[in-house]
Amino acid sequence: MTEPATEAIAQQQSTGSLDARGDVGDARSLWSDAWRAMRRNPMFWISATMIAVFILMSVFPQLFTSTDPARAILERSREKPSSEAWFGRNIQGYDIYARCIYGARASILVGLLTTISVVLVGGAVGVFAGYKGGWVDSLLSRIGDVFFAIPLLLGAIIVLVSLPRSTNYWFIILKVVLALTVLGWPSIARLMRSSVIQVKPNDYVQAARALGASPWRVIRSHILPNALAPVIVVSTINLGGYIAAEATLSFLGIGLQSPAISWGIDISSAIVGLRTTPHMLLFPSLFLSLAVLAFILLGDVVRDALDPKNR
Amino acid sequence: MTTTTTRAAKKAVPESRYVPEDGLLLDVEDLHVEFHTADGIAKAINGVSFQLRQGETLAILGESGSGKSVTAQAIMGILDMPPAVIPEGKIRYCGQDLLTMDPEVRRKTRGPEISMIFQDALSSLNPVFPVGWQIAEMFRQHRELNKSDAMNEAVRLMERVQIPAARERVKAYPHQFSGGMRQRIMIAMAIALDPAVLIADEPTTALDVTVQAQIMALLEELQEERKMGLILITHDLGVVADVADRIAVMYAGRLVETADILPLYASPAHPYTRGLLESIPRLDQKGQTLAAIGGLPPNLMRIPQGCAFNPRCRMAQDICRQDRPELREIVSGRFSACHFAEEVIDA
Amino acid sequence: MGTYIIRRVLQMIPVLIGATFLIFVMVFALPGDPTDGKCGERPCSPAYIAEFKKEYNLNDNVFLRYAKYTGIWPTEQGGLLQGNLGKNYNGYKVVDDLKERYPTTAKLALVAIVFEVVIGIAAGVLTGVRKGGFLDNLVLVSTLVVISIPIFVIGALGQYFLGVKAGLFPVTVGSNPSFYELLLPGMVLGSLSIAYVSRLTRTNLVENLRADYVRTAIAKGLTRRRAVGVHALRNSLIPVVTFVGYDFGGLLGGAIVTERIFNIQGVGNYIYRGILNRDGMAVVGAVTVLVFVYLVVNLIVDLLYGVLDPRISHD
Repeated sequence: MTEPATEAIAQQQSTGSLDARGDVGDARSLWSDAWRAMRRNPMFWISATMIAVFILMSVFPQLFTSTDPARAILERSREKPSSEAWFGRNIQGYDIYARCIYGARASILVGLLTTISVVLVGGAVGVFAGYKGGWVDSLLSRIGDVFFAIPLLLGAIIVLVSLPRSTNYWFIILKVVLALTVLGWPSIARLMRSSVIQVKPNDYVQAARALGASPWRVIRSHILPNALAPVIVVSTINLGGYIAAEATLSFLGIGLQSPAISWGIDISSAIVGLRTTPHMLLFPSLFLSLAVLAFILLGDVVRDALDPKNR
Repeated sequence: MTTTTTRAAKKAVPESRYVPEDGLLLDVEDLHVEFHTADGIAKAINGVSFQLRQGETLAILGESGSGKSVTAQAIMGILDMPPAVIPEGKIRYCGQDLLTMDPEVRRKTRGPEISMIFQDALSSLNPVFPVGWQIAEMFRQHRELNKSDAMNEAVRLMERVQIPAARERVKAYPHQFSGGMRQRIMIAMAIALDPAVLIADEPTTALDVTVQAQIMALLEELQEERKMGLILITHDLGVVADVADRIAVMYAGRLVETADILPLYASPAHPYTRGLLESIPRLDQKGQTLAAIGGLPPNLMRIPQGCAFNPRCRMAQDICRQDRPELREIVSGRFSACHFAEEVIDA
Repeated sequence: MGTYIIRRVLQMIPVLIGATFLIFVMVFALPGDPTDGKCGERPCSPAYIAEFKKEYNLNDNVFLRYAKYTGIWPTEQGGLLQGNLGKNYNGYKVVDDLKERYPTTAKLALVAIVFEVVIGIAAGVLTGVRKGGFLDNLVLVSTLVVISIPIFVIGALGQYFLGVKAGLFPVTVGSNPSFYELLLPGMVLGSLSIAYVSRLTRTNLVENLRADYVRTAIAKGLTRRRAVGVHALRNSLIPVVTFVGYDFGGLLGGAIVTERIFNIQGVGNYIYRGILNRDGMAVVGAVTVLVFVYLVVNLIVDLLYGVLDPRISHD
């Protein structure tokens, strides 16, 4: 934009900028500005609603269907969608609609748990490395590089295969979460580290340290509020990626296995019958894609809202 | 250096260039520019008229937001439209209105006819191309010279603007030059095709004081050599004092005073000009408090009624809050848009 | 520049050792019996197990095994450094297996990269110059859709609609496939990256179109086409190149899925089979080579960055 127009606008609003890491006050106004921008964005409401529905689905699948997803009616195998079975039935004669509803749990669990553990591990390492600096920083950064050098899906496959086999649902879920965390933490650690290094030299942080505030207090009240925004954006988008990764691992037969219910497993088994019964593939794919989409969309919206250039 | 100067001087005003008999290169008439933004319409320029003749140097003076840069960009045709809109006005170059000209014809005037130098040479030069390439691009695109000829022209121009070791540095990138050298490269690029009109938008603002003087001297030299019409956009009266022939003072998108440079310095005819003059530190007034104009320039979405300067004017009366003063001739060749211009000029 | 390359290569060595060691540890040192299922339904005979363990150094501690594997600890047959990746559990040399499969995967990756770069940048430019237009929104929505659909679904759909129904591409891929056969799998593999490349190009282009030097280009009397296509685009492509390089790792992971769907006899399928057969030697060998390639690609991208952006100094 040109000179006077920007000036005129600049006069009207005090901008809270991601780059202007002034103080915690800025961080707060940054969030309230972002919230105001998000509220007006229909995409925010769409993605938030979709996420809410998927989470509800994973906690209380009974709310959405009274059909037992594990009840196979073999003689009705591959039945087309009908009023009885809305999405039709798959090869084993399972109700696809019920399978789609119950399949949400695995995806949402893996997505949320992986994101939480990646943020905790990566965040802790990043903050520690950035705050300590020196050889601690160098060492941790090099370790991060080592993990970063292994492509996510490739590494996750290896971790999964090397862990003990089991058919226990929760054990496999945690295995997948562990595999994705092992490979996923360095990205958040890098992000956190650079945020800390950016904020640390600021006068108010140095002043707090000089006044004898404990490292934890300095980190919690001065560094985290400023560093959090990019981490939240990246984590939200990554969450969608983790859901896709879980489904991919199930598809490859390395993640969850039948009789567990997962979109990935259903898609995998539906591919065989793609030519004659595309509905078997369509519905679980749709659910999976919508779940991934919801989180990526939310991440996009949050990023745009936090970016003062977009207002 | 002498050889290059004579060679350049020979080419200075190409025979083919059409210049009207009265030497009138540029005639801006009642120009309006608005910016349509989500928050409303910002009226950046509200009826500006001036003329520029061959060999003349016109300084347009004003604070940031006064509309001086927008005026320059409107003449150059590089405003982003939208959000910018030109609802009214004419910009005649050698008699032809640029605003109604076919866009493709107008594009071809940029460079060979009208050319421009920007304030921040570092960001205005493309960081990923060598400076020589960027100068040579003018010849490649407008004159269809081949690569090596265009490059030789670039070296010649770099020598002309006194860049040391031009032939060796022609392949260097903008960030490898000092601020002053970068601005010389900008100038070399702008004068490459011998334009009739050169617009310099705050050409020295980003530079050290000593370098400022060198750049201004270079511009003056080039202007005399090539008989260009030069428009100097600035917020700093001190910079243009030695160079300009006429000054146009802008405030809130209007001209508030135009005059030849000496009379204006001697006795300003508008309170705003006087404020600007008083805010220049002077050696002969040592020990006195430096006067500054209080307040801020107006919001262009809500320009005050009456005279736009009235909230900041020490002389403001009721009439200033109601009637907007038009630009009128006070003395021969001197124009002011103030109800009390006569009193100001006498004070 | 020369010293920079040397420094970067030296920096790469510990990362390479660390990454290969990590893979080695994960595959060999964690619980699980590699002879599991090797002798049909019955457990293997103790003699077989003993010979197996000797053959693959399974009695040594993990560090010694890693040292022997890489060739840091000298053995008669040599290790990774001597170009020996050992034998897989079926007794074939892993190096020979990889030699056979590498060209296929390399071709596949090449198709994917060409596809993502050409289409991605074209879409990014078309949408970037007409920000907010119909095409912009269309591409924005379709990239979002592509990003959200996992690669194995895209693969299955592509195989069905473009291969089977429309008959545009061959559905199956032979053992030594031509580029034509790999067109559809390559498009599937590159589809996710296309979405990212086009969005990245668009974002950067939109930002660079506001840059002062584009305004200068217009003021120089250049056509808008040249101001955008040469001045703004050249700057916008710098981060795109970086992305394509770093995304190479994702491409390698995706190759496992793509090769599985289209039954392509490449490295990805080799790794997948190795995992199913719990063939540690095959997996470690193939993954080590992939990680090495990935690191080399990243090194090249870093060097390229310095060429594309003269402001970055490599001194």
